[in-house]
Amino acid sequence: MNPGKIRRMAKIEQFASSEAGGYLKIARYYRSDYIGLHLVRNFFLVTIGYILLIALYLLRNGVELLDTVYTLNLQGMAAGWIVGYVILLIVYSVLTYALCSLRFARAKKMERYLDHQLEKMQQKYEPDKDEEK
Amino acid sequence: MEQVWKFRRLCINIAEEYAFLFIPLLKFVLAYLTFSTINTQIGYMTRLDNMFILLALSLISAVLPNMVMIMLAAVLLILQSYGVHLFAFVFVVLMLLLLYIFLQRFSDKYVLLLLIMPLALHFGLSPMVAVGGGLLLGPAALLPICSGTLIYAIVSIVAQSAPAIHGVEVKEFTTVVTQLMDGMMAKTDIVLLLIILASVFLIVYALRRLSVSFAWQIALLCGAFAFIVLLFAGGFFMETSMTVGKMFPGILAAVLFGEILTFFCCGLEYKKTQRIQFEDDDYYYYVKAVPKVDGEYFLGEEQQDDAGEEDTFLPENSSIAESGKETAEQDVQIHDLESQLEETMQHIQE
Repeated sequence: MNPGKIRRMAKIEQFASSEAGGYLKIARYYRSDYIGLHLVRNFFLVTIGYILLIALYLLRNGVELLDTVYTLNLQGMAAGWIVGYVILLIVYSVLTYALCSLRFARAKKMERYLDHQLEKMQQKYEPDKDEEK
Repeated sequence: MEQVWKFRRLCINIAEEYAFLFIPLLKFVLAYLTFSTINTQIGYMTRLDNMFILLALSLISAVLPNMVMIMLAAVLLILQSYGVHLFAFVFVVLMLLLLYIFLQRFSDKYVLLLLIMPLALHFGLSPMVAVGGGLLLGPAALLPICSGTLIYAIVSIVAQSAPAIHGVEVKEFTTVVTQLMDGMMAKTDIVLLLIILASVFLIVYALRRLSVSFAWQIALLCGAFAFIVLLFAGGFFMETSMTVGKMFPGILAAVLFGEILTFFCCGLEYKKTQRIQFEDDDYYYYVKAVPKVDGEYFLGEEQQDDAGEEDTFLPENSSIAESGKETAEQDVQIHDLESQLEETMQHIQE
């Protein structure tokens, strides 16, 4: 038994099964695929969230709106809602893009670190390979 | 002093050895406190207010992943709000969904803070979470801290409105919704708390990462001071029922809690700080190495394991490797510099 090897293997296993394990899954994607997937997901979630916000607003003010429906500028109101939605979508898309880029970069860094450790391990297991060649 | 460090090491050893017992036990206590608090705050569904159910749910939460505890608490909250009124149920579901979509989905770490934060706010110990989080956790903890504060707001609004809206007929839903929404809008205390807790967390986090002696203690005291100052300032600009007097026990508890965390998690001997300087082809390195108080304890074990082993995390035949060996020979444990060094190593290798 080689305590050094055991320690290194334990360290690699600990690294792969810890929080870094989640990042290693991210590193399997292409960058564009990973970010694109999250942007699509973000689009749907923000849309649902905005619909829920409008639902809450209507629940709160629905009766008053019905009372004044004939005097309301419905076009202006709809335009306001659409502009609000677009702004919200842009803000959250930028946030999602930044966060996903950051996570992807971190995942790649962790993947490189793990590769480096595994290479070192391999060198330890095959110390005489070069000499044999 | 040595006795104190021995006691510290003994406690850490016991905690590490029996972690398999302590962690489920702590999770059980947290789950039980959460579920029973929800039941006492909004106890309109009496069938759920049963000791056996609470214990069973807590037991499930203790042995299953953290997310299960969060889901069970959310389900309990939703069911209890259904007991208050159908539209209280709709309100809670909508608010939780909005919270997830616009805030919590960006952070999947530290999810237990979603339960710890509302509990801390309920018991007036919110500064403890902000200070403790800043000392121990990363910036990703900011989102669950904010989400937890908002969850507390949702629960307290439903609890406050419950006597007024319970029994109101469904067709008069506007009364219920107006009561709940207006309650939400009127929660200036929560807005102020949100700002204060987020600021204190960030201040503590930023300061404890500084490369200065006693960074943790400085961060802790500055965090407590910032809490008081922000509370004063908030009182000038916003209508709030919170006063320094009311929050003082919480702040005091936060300082004590922070001191305990510092004692157990950051045992450094600043007197023995060493400054190491070396160079390679591309860079000069100025390294500050602070030995841990029980560094010798680990060194004894590692020296046995490392007999005849080189440090493989350092590239061979480089001046850094030489310097690394030198530092190992000097029995110095490098604190908070591992990641920076690893990055540099990778960079050099590339």
